[in-house]
Amino acid sequence: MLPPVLLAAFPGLDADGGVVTHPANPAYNCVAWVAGVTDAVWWPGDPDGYWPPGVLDELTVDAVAAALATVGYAPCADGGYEPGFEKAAVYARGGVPTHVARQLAGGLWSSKLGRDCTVSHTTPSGVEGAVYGTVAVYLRRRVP
Amino acid sequence: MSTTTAPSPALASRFHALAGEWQAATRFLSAPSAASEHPAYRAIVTLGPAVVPLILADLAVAPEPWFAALRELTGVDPVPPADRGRPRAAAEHWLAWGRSRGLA
Repeated sequence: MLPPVLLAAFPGLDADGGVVTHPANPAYNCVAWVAGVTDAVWWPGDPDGYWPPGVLDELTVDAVAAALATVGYAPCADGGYEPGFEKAAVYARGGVPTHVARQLAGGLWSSKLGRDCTVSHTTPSGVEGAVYGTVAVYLRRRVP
Repeated sequence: MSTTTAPSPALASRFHALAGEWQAATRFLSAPSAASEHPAYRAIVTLGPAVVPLILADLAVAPEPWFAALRELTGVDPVPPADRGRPRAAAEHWLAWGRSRGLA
């Protein structure tokens, strides 16, 4: 059973099979998690965020996609599972990026929720809603 | 900034109430700057430099994004550019800064 605070923030998470997989940890955020980093907060245009050198440093979906391109991701059509690839979903609200989720081997998705916990969910829509908005773009890279 | 005066119980109580409100409201936000713009966070900054020891005590427990507040309250930034965006490392720099001044 998901904690009430998660159910309140992400009303669709329970029905999407949401499970807490890692406890709260403010040492990294969702973009870092998707990049495979657990000791940094990746966020553009932020004095307390890390951003890859040379990447567009502005709060846009394109900038987030460009940052993830530095670790091998490129735009793709959808979030469907493709063996041999891992995918990422960039969420936005009003065109402003809010969150990134990564697809795990087997097709489940994993979201590091801000400074809080990490959850797995069946589809990208599991964490869509008032907090993160909706998926703006999908990315994929070959499984390292 | 250098002081070893302990924050008053009233100040500590106010800080913890605001910090709890801030934590609850911003825990799922991905951006550090979004968290530091929350009204409860701003209210903590308006409490003034006397809250620095309380912030450092919180930072010693977990590397929450208190860095913007600390910069505003102290006028310094002991975090080198290489550790920008690395909360654990940044927290260690701030705690070392605080210990050297009797604040942590």
